[in-house]
Amino acid sequence: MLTPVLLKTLGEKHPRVASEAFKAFSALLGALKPVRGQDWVESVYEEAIARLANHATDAEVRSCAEDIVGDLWLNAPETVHAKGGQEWEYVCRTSGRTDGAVKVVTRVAREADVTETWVNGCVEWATKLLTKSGRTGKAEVFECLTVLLLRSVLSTGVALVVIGHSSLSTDMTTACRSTCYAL
Amino acid sequence: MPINLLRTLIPQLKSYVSTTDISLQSQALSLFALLLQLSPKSTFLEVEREVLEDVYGIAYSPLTSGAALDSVLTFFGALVEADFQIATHVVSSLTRGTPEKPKDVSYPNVAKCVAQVVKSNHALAAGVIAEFSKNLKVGLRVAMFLRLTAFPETFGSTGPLYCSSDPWGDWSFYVRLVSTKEVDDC
Repeated sequence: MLTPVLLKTLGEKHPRVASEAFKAFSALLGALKPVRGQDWVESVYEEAIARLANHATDAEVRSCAEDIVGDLWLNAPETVHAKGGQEWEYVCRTSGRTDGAVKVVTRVAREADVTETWVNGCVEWATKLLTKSGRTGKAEVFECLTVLLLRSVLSTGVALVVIGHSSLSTDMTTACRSTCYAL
Repeated sequence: MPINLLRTLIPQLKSYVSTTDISLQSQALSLFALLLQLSPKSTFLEVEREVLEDVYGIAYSPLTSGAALDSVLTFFGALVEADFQIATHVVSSLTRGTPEKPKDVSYPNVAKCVAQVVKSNHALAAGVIAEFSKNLKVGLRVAMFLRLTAFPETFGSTGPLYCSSDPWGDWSFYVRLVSTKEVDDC
């Protein structure tokens, strides 16, 4: 009942309407977590990709589209994992405003199930962001790098010392412990 | 971590290891410490060659305090734990390689860094204390606060040999410049 109407508003030209529609889907994904076998998830993903791929997309809409990519990774992982990660090519750009992308990558790295390849790709991207001039957003990039590096522990289980690090979420700490105990 | 990724990341982080922006410098040093913990073998040589000299400069700086100093201490701790053999070299560089102008050096910072190195490599404790004891009469009077509770295995004692009220924090080994009167009061 609700989703067809919301899906229609996602494609609206008016940036305020489109961005509010993305926010509504973000809330819906969070409420229905974990989301499986829902057609509308696919449509939301496609619309987010379309918005992110378009350089003329309004900044607010782009920010919401970036957020929803994070929400999809956290709440509908089965759908996005099947896509091969093409959304990150659009999220992780090095020009223009990158603060929203940094937040999404940090959030996904902290909370979602990610692969080592994804982590390494994001570290490479964040390293490129450090070369940009100016101070704006640099602190967030450092935080992002910290979370990404800690995340690499989950796949290797090499560093017992990082358990309890302030940048680890509760889930990551538990996962770290499990990995280390398994060794 | 893939080695090529480290080779790209380390030079970028290095550019933030300066006193220009203390906040970012602190974050960069914390990241170096993390890299040293996660990939000690592949990170250590690069850090020793490219970054260590700059970190000495930061440790000396009176501008380094609070969270920034904490990250310097974390860095030295991780560095020594990555390779214990560097501990002696770090202590001698910290204490002998100070800038020519004494006013440019924060001696409490240097002392805390030495303390951190000793904390990370307890085998150094006796040697470092002996070394510092020799220099007690240089310039200002130096009071050494030795809290031996952390090193009972080294000194065969569980009680503090000499203990102040310790308003500076819980340092296992601490050297602090004080006035002659304060030393006498102690």
